[in-house]
This record gives sequence, structure tokens and C-alpha cells, in this order.
Amino acid sequence: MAETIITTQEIWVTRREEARRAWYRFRSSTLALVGLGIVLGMAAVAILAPYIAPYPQHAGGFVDFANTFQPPSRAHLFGTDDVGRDVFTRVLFGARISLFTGFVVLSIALAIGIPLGLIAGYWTGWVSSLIMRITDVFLALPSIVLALAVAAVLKPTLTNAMIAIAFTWWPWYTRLVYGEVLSIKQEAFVEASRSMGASPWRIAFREILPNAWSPIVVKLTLDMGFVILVETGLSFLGLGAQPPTPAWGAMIAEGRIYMPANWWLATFPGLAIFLTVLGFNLLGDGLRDVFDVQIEQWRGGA
Amino acid sequence: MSAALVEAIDVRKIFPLTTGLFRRQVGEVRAVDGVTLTVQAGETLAVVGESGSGKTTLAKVLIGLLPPTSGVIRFDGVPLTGLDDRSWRSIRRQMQIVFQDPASSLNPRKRVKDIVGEPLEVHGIGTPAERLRRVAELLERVELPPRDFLFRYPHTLSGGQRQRVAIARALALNPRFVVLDEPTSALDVSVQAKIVALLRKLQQEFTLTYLFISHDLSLVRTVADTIAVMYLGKIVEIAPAGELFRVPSHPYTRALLSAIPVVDDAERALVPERIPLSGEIPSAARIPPGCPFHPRCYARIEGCERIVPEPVEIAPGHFVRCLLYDPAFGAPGLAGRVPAISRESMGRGGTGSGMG
Amino acid sequence: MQAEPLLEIRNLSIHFHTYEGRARVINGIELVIGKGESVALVGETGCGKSITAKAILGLLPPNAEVVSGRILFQGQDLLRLKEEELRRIRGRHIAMIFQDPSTALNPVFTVGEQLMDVLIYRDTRGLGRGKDGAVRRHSALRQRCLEMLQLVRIPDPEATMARYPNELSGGMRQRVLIALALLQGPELVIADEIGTALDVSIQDQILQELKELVRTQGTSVLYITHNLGVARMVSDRVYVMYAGEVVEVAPTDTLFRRQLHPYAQGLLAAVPRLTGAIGEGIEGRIPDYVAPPPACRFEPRCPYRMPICSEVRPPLVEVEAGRWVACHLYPHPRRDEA
Repeated sequence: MAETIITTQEIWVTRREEARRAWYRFRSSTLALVGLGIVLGMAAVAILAPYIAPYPQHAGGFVDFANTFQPPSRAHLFGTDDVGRDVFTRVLFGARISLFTGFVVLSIALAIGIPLGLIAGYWTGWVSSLIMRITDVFLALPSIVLALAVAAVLKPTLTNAMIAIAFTWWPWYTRLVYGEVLSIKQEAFVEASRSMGASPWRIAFREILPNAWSPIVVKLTLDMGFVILVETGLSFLGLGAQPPTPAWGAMIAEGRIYMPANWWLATFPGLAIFLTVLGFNLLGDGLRDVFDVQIEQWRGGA
Repeated sequence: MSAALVEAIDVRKIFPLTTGLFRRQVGEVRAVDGVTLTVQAGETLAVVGESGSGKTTLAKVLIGLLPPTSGVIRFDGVPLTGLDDRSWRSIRRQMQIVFQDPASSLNPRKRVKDIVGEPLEVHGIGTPAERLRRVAELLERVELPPRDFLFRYPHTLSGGQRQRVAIARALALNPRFVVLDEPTSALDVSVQAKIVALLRKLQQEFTLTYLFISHDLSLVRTVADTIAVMYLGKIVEIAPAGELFRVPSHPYTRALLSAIPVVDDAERALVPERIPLSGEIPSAARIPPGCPFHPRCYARIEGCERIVPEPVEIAPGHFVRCLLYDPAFGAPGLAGRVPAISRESMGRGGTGSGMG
Repeated sequence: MQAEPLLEIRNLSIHFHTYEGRARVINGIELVIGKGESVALVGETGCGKSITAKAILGLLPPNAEVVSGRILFQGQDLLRLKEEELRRIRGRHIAMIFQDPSTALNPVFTVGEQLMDVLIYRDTRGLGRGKDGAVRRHSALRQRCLEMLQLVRIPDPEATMARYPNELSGGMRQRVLIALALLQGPELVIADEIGTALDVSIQDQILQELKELVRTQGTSVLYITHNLGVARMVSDRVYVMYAGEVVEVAPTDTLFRRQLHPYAQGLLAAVPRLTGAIGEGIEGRIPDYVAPPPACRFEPRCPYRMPICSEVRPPLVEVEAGRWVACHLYPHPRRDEA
């Protein structure tokens, strides 16, 4: 058998085919597509903010007392705020902060939560109990309260806000992964791996974890929305991103005292939050439907 | 007579049942309750039993996946306990297992080439290119064209194909002893026939020794040289295949054989008349005292509920654990104890319109 | 058997919309079940037998399309009924016994609650109103549940009513499922691979009891199974299905003595024999439903194929009394019209 068994090109064709199939399934849910659209749109906005914002310099400290409280117009799509900054620009830049926060927080949560969950789930005994009890302690504290406490102790900055939120978020992933591992490790293929001499580490990370991804991905997507909400809460309360940073929560905090007359200061950031969270929720739901079908299919047998 | 490859001597596997915070032991599950058997090199030993019989646990103990609670297991003369790591690994490579349900024994997130190549990777054999070549070779051996199957995921394969992949994986390390745990029960009958043919071919080609576990007596008849019947952790009867069918001696064996649905009328004479068994199989956590089968046995005699029968050799290579064959009880055998043929069983076996 | 058919499937074709295209899964099947008759629908994985059962009860998945055919039950075409009308038929006139006893029962309700639920929801007894009437009705319904449990040979019906499904053995659970199905006295019961999740001796027991039970109640049964031995044991007539088509129909004994269709022959030959012999199985795989063979769907795998087999689809014709086969090997009037 000296000749090539299978060419690289054939491999790529197979992979492309699989991707197409997955997309077909995803496509069947309109709401999921809407969610995807919103999320991609928000991501684009966040990345391109400096280039598409009409008044990028308004994003930071800027004052123009001649132009305060302008209602929405062609020149200022979302109007101007109490110091004359373009609200539309600031909302666009706010997307950066929100998405960035979500990304960082969830990365930390995953990095801590997944390995802990894997270890607790696969190894039994005191290590597992210890990890899960610690996790339970963190879970017992309401995340916002804990985040507030941490943020209050540390100086109020965006970074510290992210740390605070991540601090409260990782246990959920540990618990999720723990539950998944418990059920997956009963499967025959895990036993098969064990029977051929694979080490527990190999089994945990290379056999079990790939099968646990689906609920993790779904949760990640839904969590983006919630993390953004928590960050919003923190910045609303003055912990987290400080003025003049255009965090949506801070913008609402600053703008709400001018309601209802100058409604645009607080309303547009609020709408942005709503839209973003909605987008992630729809996307997460859509992904969950796709994954459920997949699981059903391969377990459905005859 | 070839040499014994695998020997089990009075093997027991007991699982404790615990409760409470401090794991107090409240009972035990005697999954394997004193099993002694020998598998000759190159032959196929079938272990037949229903749920709770302990057949799967026995298989796992024999290939070292589970440590026995007591008893000795020898592979090629070498006892499996007290081995250093290296010897252990080297022996374990010679014993492999094919699991029952091909849908769950293959990792759904891995491609066929990674599944079949895993044993090689785990034991650090060869470079990735060499492993790929070996995997392709194995796929050919199980009649799956490598080009078409290397990169597939299990959920795109049919049941028969998945089982072939599982078999290829089991052969990766060139084992001498392969345990097949109900390898075809999840498959359609026509696919089953092909897998059986494949297993036979591989056994010849590679001089494999098989331990074939099944609940299907008629299937086992076509593959086994020796058949052992298990009930609640004990082997109640063991004999060469043809002999077991010709002279089924233990009441349980007889009842099992009588329940085989005969599809070919010409073979009706080859099984006993139907013996319905009463009751359910007790849980292995509450094994009846004395002979484990006695509560459901239609041929009970006085003493069955107290005494655990020892194996008695009633013909060369044919052992039965039943007081009916024990010389101490006069060895009356089954004569006159088989239930009379009822009207119901006369209409049995498919004369479904009622009257025979 | 009987003059008047209870269920009649005529020329049923069902297509599925999938990623790969339109899968022509069910391709013009015919099936008749008479009153009090037990019919087995036998076929291997993927032949469409479960889909047929689901079609009868209107439980097809959303991507299924019934492109033609009728399912006549007591004079009504089930395919043309609205959901509410179907719901009235489900359970009360046509009931299904599911395959896996461990998942088909709700684990958080007791056996009694699940049985009573069926009757209370249906209010079949229609007894008096008022507080007193309500009590009377409840105990009458309860009585019926207990009777049913006794009929399926559950040893202690009172105690079992109070148990949760996971406290029962597999065999007991299967019996509860049977009781659930028969509770409203349906005329037709569909048994979908029952017993396959159970030990052989228990399966044997339960099937025998079920056979006796439906005989005394006069219920018709459609057994869906891939197990030929089971089919032989419980049915009066057998339909053999392959790739979405019915290829042979015969009274049970007749079929097992001699099969006409090559697929049926191959299937029977593959069953392990007590002499130790076992057939070779059948070469090939079931066809791709998106691009099936144009005429006879078994042709690519058939050891007796002829040129006409890939040109003209063999119709299902009666070659002897009560024996039908769809194969060009057997002369039939339309063959030469091609």
C-alpha cells in the first residue's frame, strides 16, 4: 500500500460538505438567523467604530456647550448629550466596551471553569468534592451583589469590573461541565478508551470534552447577553467604566435625569443594550436547536 | 488440544452497595460468583445469559478492565495480578474488547481514522503517517474501503459499518484474545450474518481466540466451540456447542433453548418443547440462597433451596451445576421433571392462528 | 381472514425534505388489517416500518410530506382528518405500545396517576356530575385501571398503582405500557418493537400473554418488528417491507415455510439455525432514498435480477390465495405490458 490513501483535496471536500450541512440546519430557524445577523452587526460596529462613527472625537472627553441637548437630526442621528457629544457616536463606541467585556469575562470564566469542571467530573473523591463545594459557595452568592462588592473594594475601572464579573461567572461553567462529564463518562466509548490503556487526562480532555462543547457553546452565547447586562448595571452604578468612557450603562445613568424631555440621551443606549442582548439570546437559542437535532440524530439509531 | 490461553479459577466480582454520607455498606451485588473456566487458544467460548447473569462483568474481569474481588485469572499462564506496569501493559495489549452498542462505543466527535488509530496513539506506536497507513490496512481487513471511510463520522455510518470500525479498533494492537460483548445484538439479522462471517474470517486469518457474549442461543450455536450458560453470577452449565444443544441438562438451559423461536419447521425437533418460566430474574443484589435458580425452577427437589450445587461432569467436557446430577442425591436427572406439554405450547412457535 | 377490514392503507407514499433533497421513503404501500387480526410488519432498519406506524397516528415529523394515498379506518381517511379529530381517535380507537419501557413512562408520576390520567382526560365513563358523582366516577375509573393491570398479569395491582416506573422491572413496565394502550378499549393496537429492550425470556412471556389478551378482547394488532421469530410467534399474517415498499404478504406459517421474494428468502436464510448454520446475509445496503433504484428497489442486491427489474417496478400481485408478492420472477398479467 505505497500510494496515497486519500488526497488532501478530498479531505477538504469532506470538511466543506460537513460545514454546508451544519449551515443548512442552522438556516432553518429564522429567529436564529436574525440573532446571528444582530450579533454580527454588533461585532462589525464594535470593530469599525472609529471608522464609521461620524464624530469619533466625541467618544472620549469632549465638550461643545453650544450644541448640548440637540434632538435627533440628520447631523446627529441620536442627538447630542448634556455636554454636546454626539450620542450616536458614543453608542457605537459603547459597543466596543460591551462586547470586549463579554469576551474577556467569558474567556476567563471558561479558562477557570472548564478544567475545574472536567477534573471534578471525571475524578471522584475528595478532589471532586472540594472543587464542587467551592463552586457551590460561589454559586450561592448572587452574582451582581458579588460583582458589586468586588468592584467596590477595587478601584472602579473597567478592568476591575471585568475581573469582578468573571469572579462570579466561572462557577456556572464548572457546574455545567461537571454535569456533562458525569453523564458522558458513562458512555461506552469512554470505557473503550480506558480499555485500550488511555490515561485519565487523555480521556478527560480528548474524549469527553469534545462531546461537552454543545451546551457550553450555547451557554456562552446566551451568557454574552447577560454579562453585558451585568456590566451595564455596574457602570450604571458608577463602578466599572468611568466617564468619559461611553459605556452604555454609564450613559443611561447620566442621561436618565434628563428624561423625559431629553429622552434621547438614555433611550438610545438602552435600545442598544436591548438589541444586543436580544441578538445573543436568539443566536443562542438557534444554536441550541441545531445541536439538539444533531444529538438526537446520532443517538436515534434506527 | 491446544493450550489454554485464558484461565479463570474461582473468580468472584462483588460490588458493595453503600448508602449514606459515610458509605456504609448495606449489601453487595455478586456479579460474578465463583466462575471457573478455560478458553483454549484459537477457539471461541460463548457465554450466554440474560440480564443480571454477570456475563459482561465476567468479560471485563477476564481482560483486566476490572480487578476481581477474589480468584485467579491467567493469561498464557501468567497471573494477571501482581504484575509491574510494563508487563501489565504488554499483556493488556494482547486482550481487546468489542462493545455491544456500536452507536455509543464510538466517540461521536471523532473521525473513523482517529477512532481506529487511538490504540496506536495511546501506546505511542509509529509516526502519524505510519499510523494512518496501519489504520487504512485495518479498515481493509474489515471490508471498509479506506478512501471512503477514513474521514467519516460515526453518525454517518450504518450499524454494520460502525461495528466493523469497532472491530478494526480492537485489532489495532494485534491482540490474541478478543472479547465480543453482544457484537450483533444491535444489528439487523442480515447484517448480523455478515458480521459473523467477518469475525470468522478474522479469527482464521489472525488465529484469534474469542470470548463471545450473547443472550442469543441460536446465534451462539453458529459461532461457538464451547458454550457456558450463566445465571446470577454462576456458570450453571458448560459444554461443547453441539453437546449442549443435544443434551441440555440444566433446567435453565432447557428453558432457554425451548424459548428459541424456530423459523425453520424442519428444526423444530432440535429444541425442547416450550417451558415457560415463572417469575422474573431476581436482582443480583438479592441472590436466592442455595441454587440461585431454585425459585423459578420447575424441577426443584428437596435441598435446592439450601445447597449451592457444585459442578458435576456428566460427559467429557460437559459440566452442570444442579443437584439433579449430583451423585450425593442419587443423580435422578431431568427425567419426569420436565413440565408436561401444555395446550398452549402446542400452538406455539408460530401457528399463530391458534390451533396446532 | 375477516370480510371487513378495520384498517386499510392504500397506495401510501411519503417523502421527506432533507438537506440532500427529497427522500422518497415510503413508496406506494398497501396494507390491510382485519377485525381481530394480528398482522406483523417485518423489515430491517430503515425500511420505513416505524414511519408507517407514525403515519397511521398522524405523528409524522414536520419535514414529512404525504404525497399520495389513503389510510382508511372505520370509513374515515386518517390523512385527511384535522388534528382535533385525530386526537379523538388516538388512544381511544387506535393505541400505540411503545418500544422502550424505560423511557416511555413518565418517571415523576406513579403508575396509577398515569393510568388514571388517560381515563380522566377522556372522561369515557361519563358518569354523574356533582361532588358525589365526581367521587363515584373516580373510583369507577380506578377500578378499571386495576382491572387492566390484572389483565396484563401484574401480580399486585393495588401496590403497583402506587409505584413509580423506576421501581418496576423492565417486564413490569412493559406490561404497564400495554395496559395503558388497552385501557380505552381500542380496536387497533400498534406494537412498535415491543420486547426488544427486554430479556428474551421475559419478552417471550409478555408476547405470549399479549397474544392471548388481544384474542380474548378481539383487538386487532399491528406488530412492527425486525425480529422474524417474534413475527412468527404472534401474527396471523406477515407483511415484509423493504426500502419503503411491501414486497411480500402471506399468512405467517406459509411465509416461514416458503418465501417467494428474494429479499424475504435472504432474510430468512440469515437467521442462525440450530444446526449451527447461518446464511451469508444480503450483499449491499438499503438504497439511498433520494436517488432510489428506478424500478424494483431491491434489484441492485438481488441474486436473481433480470433486465426488466431495472425497467419496470413489479406490482404487488396475488399469486395464490392470500399470498402477494412484488417480483418479476412470478408471472403476473401486467408484466408483459411494459
